[in-house]
Amino acid sequence: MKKSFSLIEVIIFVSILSIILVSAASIVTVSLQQNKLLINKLKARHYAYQLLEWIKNQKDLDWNSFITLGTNKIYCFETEGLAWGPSVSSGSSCPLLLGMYRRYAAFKKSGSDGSTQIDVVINISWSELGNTYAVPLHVIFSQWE
Amino acid sequence: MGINKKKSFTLIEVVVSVSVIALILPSVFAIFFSIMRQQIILIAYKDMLIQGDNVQNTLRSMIKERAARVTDLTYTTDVCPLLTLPTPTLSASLYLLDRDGNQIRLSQEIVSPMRIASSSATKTYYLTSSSVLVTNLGFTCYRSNSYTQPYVQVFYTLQKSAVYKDASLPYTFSARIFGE
Repeated sequence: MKKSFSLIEVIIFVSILSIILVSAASIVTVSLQQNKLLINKLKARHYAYQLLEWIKNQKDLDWNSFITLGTNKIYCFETEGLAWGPSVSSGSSCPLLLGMYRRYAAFKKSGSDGSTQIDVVINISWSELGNTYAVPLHVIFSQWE
Repeated sequence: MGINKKKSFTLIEVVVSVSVIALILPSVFAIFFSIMRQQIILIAYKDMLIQGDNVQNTLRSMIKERAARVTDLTYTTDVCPLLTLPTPTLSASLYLLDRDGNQIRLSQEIVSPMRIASSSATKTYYLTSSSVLVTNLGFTCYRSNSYTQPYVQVFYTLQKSAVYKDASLPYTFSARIFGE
């Protein structure tokens, strides 16, 4: 009689193999996704700090126009070269930077007399794989620093 | 002892197993290379971020803590105009005199790949390594009053010089000259 595998043996072998293959595939997928997310986070952080530097510069340049522009308003910064655009009512309506990031800065007057300090919240958010990620930066600018 | 009694694979078995391997191998390689590619992009961005941030810190402290004047290329005439809008034109090099009168030139050196260089009268130091390519280096300077020290604004973009060319990061920052 010819020796051969029984059905049970084949089924056990195939199921073990498929468990291994499926878990390997899911590990690969997760690691690819995490890498992509990490790259996007690095970029988002860079663009957040780029905007922070620019806003700092605007403040240094001319405090009076800075405080006029920055009174309780939200601005979108959707281009890599930065410029003041029209203010918007909500950051979620901003156009996309590089086709993926929503970058905006919310300005709020604060301080004891309401004109010596501006709270700025820079926010970059993007959607990836059904989740929304964000890199927020909260900075306070005052006239005498 | 005939040849027919020897145990061996049949043609069908060999064909099936070879085709299964032929189906699996390309996908394994595809996965392997996509992981490799992503790692390369990740390393590229990390490299650019480290070098870009480093250049920013170095140039900023040079401008803020060392520089006394911004001049033209002869190191004699001050160049920063009173603030006029739109912003002053971008120049490719920045000529600084420090408090001891030493000359410092910040510029984009046309070497391969292009790098940011800080040159004194006798020596040139590169601020970026050869693994990144510097493009669009530009400087503007202006002052808001005739009695204040000028602001210098610096722009540059870093790209990866080899391996992965699509990644690029733009930088902008400004610093006020320390003064004499």
